[in-house]
Amino acid sequence: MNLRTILRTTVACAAVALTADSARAQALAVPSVGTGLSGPVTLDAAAVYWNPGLTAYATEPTLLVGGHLLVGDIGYRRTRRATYQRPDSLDFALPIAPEAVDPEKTGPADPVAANPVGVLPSAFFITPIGKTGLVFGTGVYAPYAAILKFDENGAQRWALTQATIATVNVQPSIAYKFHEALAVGAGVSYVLGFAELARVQDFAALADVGGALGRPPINQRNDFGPNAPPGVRELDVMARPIRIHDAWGHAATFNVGLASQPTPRLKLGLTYFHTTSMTFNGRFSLDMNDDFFTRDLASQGLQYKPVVNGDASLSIPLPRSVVGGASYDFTDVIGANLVVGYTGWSVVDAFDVRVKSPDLAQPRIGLPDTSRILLPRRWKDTVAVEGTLRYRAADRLRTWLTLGYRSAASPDATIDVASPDGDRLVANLGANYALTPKLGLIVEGKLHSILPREVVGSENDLGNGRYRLNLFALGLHAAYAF
Amino acid sequence: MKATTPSMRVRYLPALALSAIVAAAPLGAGCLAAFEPPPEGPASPLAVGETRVVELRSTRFDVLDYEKTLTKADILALPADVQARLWLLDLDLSNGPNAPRLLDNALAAIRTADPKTLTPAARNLQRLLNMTPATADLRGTNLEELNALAPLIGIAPPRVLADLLAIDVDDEFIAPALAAEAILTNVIATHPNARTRLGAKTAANPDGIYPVARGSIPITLADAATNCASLSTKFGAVTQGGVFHPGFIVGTTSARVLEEDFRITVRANANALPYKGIELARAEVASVSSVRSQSDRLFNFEDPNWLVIDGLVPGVPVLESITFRIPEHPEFVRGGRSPMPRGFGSSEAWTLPPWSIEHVLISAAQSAYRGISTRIAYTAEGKTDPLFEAVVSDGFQEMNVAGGVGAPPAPSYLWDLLLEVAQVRLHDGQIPEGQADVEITLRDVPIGTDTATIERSIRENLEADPNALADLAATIIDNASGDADLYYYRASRDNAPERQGDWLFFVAEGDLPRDEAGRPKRPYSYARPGFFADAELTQKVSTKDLLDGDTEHEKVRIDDATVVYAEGLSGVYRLEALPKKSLYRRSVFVTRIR
Repeated sequence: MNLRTILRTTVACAAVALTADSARAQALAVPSVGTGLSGPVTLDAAAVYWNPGLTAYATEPTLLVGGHLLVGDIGYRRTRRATYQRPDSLDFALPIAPEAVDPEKTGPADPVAANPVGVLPSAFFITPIGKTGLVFGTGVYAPYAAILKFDENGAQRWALTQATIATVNVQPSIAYKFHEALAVGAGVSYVLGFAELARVQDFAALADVGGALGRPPINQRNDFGPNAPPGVRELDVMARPIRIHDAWGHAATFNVGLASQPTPRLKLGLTYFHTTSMTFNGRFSLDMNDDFFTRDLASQGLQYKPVVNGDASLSIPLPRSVVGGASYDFTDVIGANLVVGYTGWSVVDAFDVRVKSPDLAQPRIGLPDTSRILLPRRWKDTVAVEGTLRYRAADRLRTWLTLGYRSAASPDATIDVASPDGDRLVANLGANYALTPKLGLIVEGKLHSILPREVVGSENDLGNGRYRLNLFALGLHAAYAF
Repeated sequence: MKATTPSMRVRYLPALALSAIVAAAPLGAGCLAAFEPPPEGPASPLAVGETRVVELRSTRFDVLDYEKTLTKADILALPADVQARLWLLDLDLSNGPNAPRLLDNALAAIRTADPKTLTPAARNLQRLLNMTPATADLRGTNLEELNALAPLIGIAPPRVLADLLAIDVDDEFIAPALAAEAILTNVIATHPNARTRLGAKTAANPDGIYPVARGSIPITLADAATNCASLSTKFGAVTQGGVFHPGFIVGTTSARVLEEDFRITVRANANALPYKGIELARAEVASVSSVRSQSDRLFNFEDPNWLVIDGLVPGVPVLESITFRIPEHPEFVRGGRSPMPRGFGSSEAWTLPPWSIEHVLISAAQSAYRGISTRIAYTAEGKTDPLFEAVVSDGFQEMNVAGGVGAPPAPSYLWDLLLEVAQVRLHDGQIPEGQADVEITLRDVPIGTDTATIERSIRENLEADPNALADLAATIIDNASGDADLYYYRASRDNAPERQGDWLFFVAEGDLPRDEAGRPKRPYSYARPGFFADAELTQKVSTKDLLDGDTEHEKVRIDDATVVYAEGLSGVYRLEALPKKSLYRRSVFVTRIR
């Protein structure tokens, strides 16, 4: 919901979707920038990210250092609801010959699961600049870093078999307090992302392949393309493993925050995260080692090398979002925060993946050395609401409990295992223990869990089935006030 | 390791750096790499006792109206055998429907041509064609005596010669039509490539070799694609059956038959994928062309668009230039002096190869004068008894001079006389003996058929020749690779249940891999083709029984755990079918047993 989350999420989405129709959406996005209590109305060093305007209220230099250990449990059981060919058949247009229909390829498939583990460090620092009223802040944080591995032969392999994702954000900020009732801050964020992923590319889903089949000289009516019906999908010959590796992406954007503390017990915050785009550039490797592609149709102009390597790139838009909140201390012991957010995920209509290699070119059948893969996403804007109850259990111990809800970005039509998204419940329980007057230790546990999601409306039966997503992050931070 | 360490370092450094930043230890371990390419080159030969598993599949890639366009260049790139079978027409040089009296008209035209416009060899021919009794030079011939005799009898030699031949002194010795006929018969019709051509292999003509009408030369699509430039090679020097023919077309032949953008587009319905088989010696997958087995259903002849031809010249194609050459014997050839053999005489010219100009000349003269029987006599003024008398009987002349006045030429056939006269005339201008070849160049000659006929001819010839069609299709859809000894086939569901399912086919001769010229790369040298129940290969279990239209291959149906034996080119192999994992795949254990 916050920019960091957006960036992190988008990096993940982009990376996973690089070859595939995968988009992680919010799947692995845990609001783990700073502590669980960090937010647009929480004055800590992580406000550099959450609301730079709020840092203007800082009266002393503060350092926040720590991280999260992320453990994920992602599960998917695909349910095929359409009619499929036998995988060793090769009808490329409907109707399928009766003999070629696979009677066993229907209903639930074997479930698959992945359990990513990652360490997500972060460090923030804010400091007033003399008596200027300005507060400088900076942050370095890694919202996500983990390996996601599914069964290479699982029913989900058309979406994803493996992904490695890591991002690092660097963000300086500056804030100024005009008045106790109004402070403004802004930050510039640079995101460096690294992604690798693997999946089985269904060539039946590629517009280029359908076009080459349909054009002279082959001139074959075919149903191949991004909207290929299930009946012509998932054929062994057309199932080409692909890996995107060494893909690096970066982006820069900014956020602007307003903060207000009209009364000592009330804080208000509003942050705008700007949109931008992010480009990943890397290499791809495509396994074409099948006689169909390497020699059987050579005289027809179709002959690939057994392995095609080349450059890959992906540019995706990063959505803008607005996060606002209020914090109120009912007493010196009890307080509450309310944060709401709106993220414009609808800007992500599709991922545009491009691969380029001279070895891709098949000039006799009109295939160039580049291939464009449009991965329909059609994401929806999302809303999020989180409420936090704060409780000072002792002089040196403050605790909190957060409960929240986030709507799903991925619609049923385009969801797949690479973006196991859904309406999500969020819970966070944490404690801050003051070891000394200046040093606090923050321990917390976060749980994000999507409501059980049974999808039946996936386009072309690509992602029907039951999704499970549980993310647990154990956080440990130290806050030090100089 | 030394070679990979630097690249590994480069590849992983950024990731490691990033992982260090995020303290994500698993990151480095998760780095993906490019796929490793498969090993190159063929597998090692299978050793005796060694077993390998080979997975075969029967994947169909059925294409409808698959379109293939052949340009001129594509046609010329077809295997020579395929090119030779793409016959278009026989160009009738004698009397075709659109080019009547083609050759003799051309010869007639040469007679009146400006000698300056002719090559030396063509001028030689012009001199021959224009030779008349009035222009004949009798010196050095057996008629030379007439030069001495004529003043004595008061008759000019040309008159005597004309009277002997029963023509006027200004008439040509040999009419162009007769010369043309002699050329067609002796020079052109004797060339092997003008006597037969390749065509459809049918039950009635299994070799597919057809005679070419005398006076015609066969033209193929490939000839047309070269604008007939290939004719000089096709009808050039050749030795066949130990007999040499120097050829008769020289120089650059050109024609306007096909436009530069000429193309033939065929539409085929086929399984474009090959049969997957096994090269036993290496126990590896090889592909056998599936096209020939589909030749009877590849093209829908009822669809007029199964073949579309574009780029034929409008109207009647024209042969712009073609030059025929007839070589001269290296030595002067005397006419005969004997009436035997009757009707021919004893000239050596008859024993020369028919394509020599001397043979052509004597043949043409014989055709012109073989029926002549006459008597001529010249009597001096005031005398009653003839001073000179000549009797011609069936072309054989005998001259007599009364009173011992001079010596008359020796008896001979008229064509013996003319052979010598013609040879002397050929060497006017002191042309050395043996260098008086003659040439005939035809220009802007309609080739005897129009574009529509050519298109119809291409279509009809291909439709009538399944083999040529199969060859063409095999070229269009060339999907074979490797050198299989047997292949996997799934019988259609049209068969009885017990004959459906998986089969192994032993390759037939037509399945052998081919080189670029369309010839098999190796001989079909299997001692015992087929499949056997025992390792000694004594109990054959395969048959050539009809299955899906095939009666050519030894074949055996296989099920899970079926074991058969087969002999490859170098060894005997045990083949054990493994249980199927999917409908269109079958794995086989291949064991070399000796």
